[in-house]
Amino acid sequence: MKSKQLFAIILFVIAAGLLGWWIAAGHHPWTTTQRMVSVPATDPLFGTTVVTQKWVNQFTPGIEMIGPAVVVLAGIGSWMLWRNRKQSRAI
Amino acid sequence: MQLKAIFRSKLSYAVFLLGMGMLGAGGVQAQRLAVASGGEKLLTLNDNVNKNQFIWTSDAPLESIRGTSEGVAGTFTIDPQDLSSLRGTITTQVATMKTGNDTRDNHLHSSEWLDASRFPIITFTITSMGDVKTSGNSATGMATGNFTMHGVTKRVSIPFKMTYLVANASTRQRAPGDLVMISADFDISLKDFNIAGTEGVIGSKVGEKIKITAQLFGNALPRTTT
Repeated sequence: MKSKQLFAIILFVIAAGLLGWWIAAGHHPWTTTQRMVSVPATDPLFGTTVVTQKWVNQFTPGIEMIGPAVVVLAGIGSWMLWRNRKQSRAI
Repeated sequence: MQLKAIFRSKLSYAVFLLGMGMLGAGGVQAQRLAVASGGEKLLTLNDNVNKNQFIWTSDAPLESIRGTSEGVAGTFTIDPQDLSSLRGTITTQVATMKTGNDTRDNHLHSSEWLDASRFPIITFTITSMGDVKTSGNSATGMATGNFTMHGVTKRVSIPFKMTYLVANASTRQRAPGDLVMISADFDISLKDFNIAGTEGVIGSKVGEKIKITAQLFGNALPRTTT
């Protein structure tokens, strides 16, 4: 019984962690695999700062990926807790 | 003769003529860069000078998207002593537009949006120059021309800044001839180019107007006459 309860809590913690990761990563709607980085550099010939945009590989989760995962994990956790409670009452 | 009648004395008429002459001279002067280079040249965009790039931003209530377009090419005719005569074409490949999300990039290139297979190139052809102001080797002005995207051509005016460097030992390390840097910031409306996108997306996830920043670099060589 206790192991099911513990497993459900772990699922909730993972779901909360995923949500926290998504919020910390900028809470974007879509997952991106590259991030645009501004690279300012002074061009010695033209004497002005030229800002070049470069793409660097960086995985940033979007809610379209995190959302379903959180719903599934929280759903399984809730179902396990509900089952656990039902079985406890039956005993 | 009519002008003479307006002015009461010959002196005021002379002052008027002098003023008009100075205005005229100023107008011509404003089109010229203060550089020791002249004559019509062929300016070609060249990544060896610095990176040619379009950076675009879509701001919508639900999402902000930034992207780049790197397949930038272009040729112009330019005379540093007469910037009003600048003409030319800039192109960029739709297929090189990216946003950092492969799925979104595929949507962008698809027939619902920019339709890269039917309209692979975005083009801006400069047909006239206006409001050119110079200061030393720099200039600002308004480039007017035909902007073609998604098979639709619209006449637009784009404000620009330009810096012109006469060829020297340092510039030759990047490219032969004079070097030119042009930057421009402008907006385009998706509606103007018949880009409808996925239903309900424009205005919520994609901005109705796209902000574009152009950074262009090229080298200018004297035109060879054949």
